[in-house]
Amino acid sequence: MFALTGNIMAITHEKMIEIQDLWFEYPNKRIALKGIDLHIHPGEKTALVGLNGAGKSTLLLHLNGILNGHGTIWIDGIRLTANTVGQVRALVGLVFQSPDDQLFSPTVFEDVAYGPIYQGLPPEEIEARVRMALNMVGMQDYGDRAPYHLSVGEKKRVAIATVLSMQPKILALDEPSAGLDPRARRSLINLLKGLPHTMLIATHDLGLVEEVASRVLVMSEGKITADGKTEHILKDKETLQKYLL
Amino acid sequence: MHPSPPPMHIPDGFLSIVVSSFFWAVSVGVLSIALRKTKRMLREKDFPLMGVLAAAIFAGQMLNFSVTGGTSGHLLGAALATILLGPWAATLTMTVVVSVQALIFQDGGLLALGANLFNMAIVGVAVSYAVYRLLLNLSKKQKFIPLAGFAAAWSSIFIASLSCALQLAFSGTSPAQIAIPAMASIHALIGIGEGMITAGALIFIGRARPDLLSGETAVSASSRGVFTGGIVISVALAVLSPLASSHPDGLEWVAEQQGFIEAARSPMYNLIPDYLLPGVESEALATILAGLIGVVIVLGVSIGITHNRQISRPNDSRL
Amino acid sequence: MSNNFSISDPYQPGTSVVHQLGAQTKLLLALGYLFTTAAMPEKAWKVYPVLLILIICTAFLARIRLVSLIKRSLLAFPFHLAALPVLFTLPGDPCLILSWSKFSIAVSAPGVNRFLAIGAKMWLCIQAAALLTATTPMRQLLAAVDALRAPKVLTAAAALMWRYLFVISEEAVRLMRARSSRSALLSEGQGGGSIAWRAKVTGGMAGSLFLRSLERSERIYNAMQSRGYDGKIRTLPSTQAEECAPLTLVIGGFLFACLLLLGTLWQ
Repeated sequence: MFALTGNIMAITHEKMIEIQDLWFEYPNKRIALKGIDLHIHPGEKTALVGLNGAGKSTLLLHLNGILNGHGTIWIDGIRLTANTVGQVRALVGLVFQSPDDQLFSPTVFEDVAYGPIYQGLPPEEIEARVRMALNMVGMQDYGDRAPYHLSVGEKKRVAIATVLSMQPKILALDEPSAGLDPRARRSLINLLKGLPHTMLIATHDLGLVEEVASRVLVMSEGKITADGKTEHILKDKETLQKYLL
Repeated sequence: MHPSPPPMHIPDGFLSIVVSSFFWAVSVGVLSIALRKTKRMLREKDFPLMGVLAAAIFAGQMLNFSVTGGTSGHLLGAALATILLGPWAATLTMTVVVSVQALIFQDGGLLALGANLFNMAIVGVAVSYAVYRLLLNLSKKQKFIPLAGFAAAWSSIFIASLSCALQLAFSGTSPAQIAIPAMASIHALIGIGEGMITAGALIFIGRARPDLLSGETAVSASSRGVFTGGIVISVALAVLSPLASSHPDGLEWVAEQQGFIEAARSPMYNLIPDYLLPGVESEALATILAGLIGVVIVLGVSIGITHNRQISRPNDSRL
Repeated sequence: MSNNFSISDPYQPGTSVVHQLGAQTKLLLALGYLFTTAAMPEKAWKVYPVLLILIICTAFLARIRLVSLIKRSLLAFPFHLAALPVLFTLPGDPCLILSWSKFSIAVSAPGVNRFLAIGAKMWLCIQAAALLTATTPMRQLLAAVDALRAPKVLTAAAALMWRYLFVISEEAVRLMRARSSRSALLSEGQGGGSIAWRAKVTGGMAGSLFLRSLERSERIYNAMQSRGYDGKIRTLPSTQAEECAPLTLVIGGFLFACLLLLGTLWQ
């Protein structure tokens, strides 16, 4: 008996993200999330696909407590509450759709340094983190530039760096490839493939899904209607037709 | 539900008809001048600019940074608008902002709009322009701009608050001895927040679009009026306020004496020998006490307004 | 921290009599009401209930829930505190004495009266203004203001402001959300940066909003030019706003004058 239990325990993964029965209603009474249940394993790169209005962005905003619905959310085993939000925000790096909404400092360096500064890290550590984050996104020479003057692709990469400097375990990205030209898009896809983090990526870009994600969640009208391996979902014409195309 | 600028929007019911009418007349007068000036000076592009920037200022007033616990600092934006647009366009833009706030969101009354416009769109703008230009005469280096902006923004809030206090005092809503020191001290603090945010914005803009800040290097003929006006207003209000707060106007003082005598007749009074009526007995102490009480009250007003706005948020995130 | 601010349009659509009344008429009536209330003598307490009834009746006719109106007045209540000192400094019969150790302060009856009167007037005026905006869409209100000879530049700029208010406010909300997302604490009570730094960051956010708005306005200007804008502001004449019901205004004016007279007599 003990041996059997031991085996089961070895098979069970620790869930990086776990959501139980999440409901969310906007002030105008529109119910955006209707009982979401999901769990994501460490290192798993999951794509979240669905039409506009399906609830993808709303779901992402729950991961670091910006929106609060009914239901429970655990991030890396920590239950998300008003008390633990501060901790959770260090674990979940949320990258928004429009980079202009995230780059609000005079220089790239200062933008990437915001997170570490807020955390109260010592100056040397801050410097090290910024360098590391900029390196990871390939923008190491851009520290002194004003984000305002960068191209969309460059801004998107800096935006990712602004959360990487906090050394999160999870990256949640909302439409990362939207508005990028083919070259910038290729660069972004390669970047995401190379990063080791657990990811939840909301996107319309099925090519990106195919290359980066191992798992796909299909959302429609506030519910998850399909969940499976990328190869299976992308070949499932019926599901795609019903909820996406 | 809408953003929270510093508490200077006077609601209706607070100002006497005389005071509100007077300031309506003054504001309309100054605005007509502003309109004439802008017709000549501005390019065609600037009317969409004023409209959209008015929206940006309104939205910008939503931005905040936490100071301690429940309080946060906000931006009014008069100084920033002045630095970016020049005084006349800024006056018109702030007029649009304050008017829409009053008309649509009931932030500030409609009868009191003339007075509110005077405080925020006219005094706020003129004072920031004067201070900014004055300081830039000292040094035109890029690095100095945020500092000049800080001073301009602080002054705009501080002086505008004096104007606001005087309006309340002349209406009999809040006694001068309390309203003025209270508004002045609270807004001296709030002004620091405005100053810092304005400086931060100028640093950002200085990096991204330095061309926007180079502007006029010398005070042009048409703006000279604003420059002088700004200085005159600041000095006038700064001098008038302490005068008003330590000497209640003649009529009021006589009335207080009368009241004192009448109250002396009621037996209740005789039980309390140290009856302290501000302005009559131990004036210095009374003023200080009154000022302290006033500070607490206005602080309560500011916190109360911020707190109220946070409570009414549609979807409450606990942070 | 305000992560979820949303500006809401105060207009509540409907087909009531009040909704259908011309915007100009409503605006003038509202202004008349405000003037009457503000000018009402402080001690005319017998007339205040009449003013209240006017509000309630209009709200009823317009099928607007009173609760929604009352919500809009909560904003201004803290400002009422600014009038608190008047309790103590207005000379008159003391009706309450507060004392501790050697100091005592008297609350005078006229002081209480004035304090309450200010509160009542403030509240009534806000209800009236809230009723106006609940029953009249912004477009029409602007057209009404326009018809009352307000400068075209200002009304045109206000219309544009209204159009972009929600869009730009959303940008401000997203900026704050992005900042919140990166505001994490390793342990309780640590970090947060200095106040000056936080203010500077907020300034950067404001700067970003302003610059983007500037660019937006240039794009708008280009679009306007492509549609033939030549510098003169022309707006569609709004038939609704120009419709002014003189009879209603006369009756209203008469009513307000009577109330003021009553107020002066019934002190």
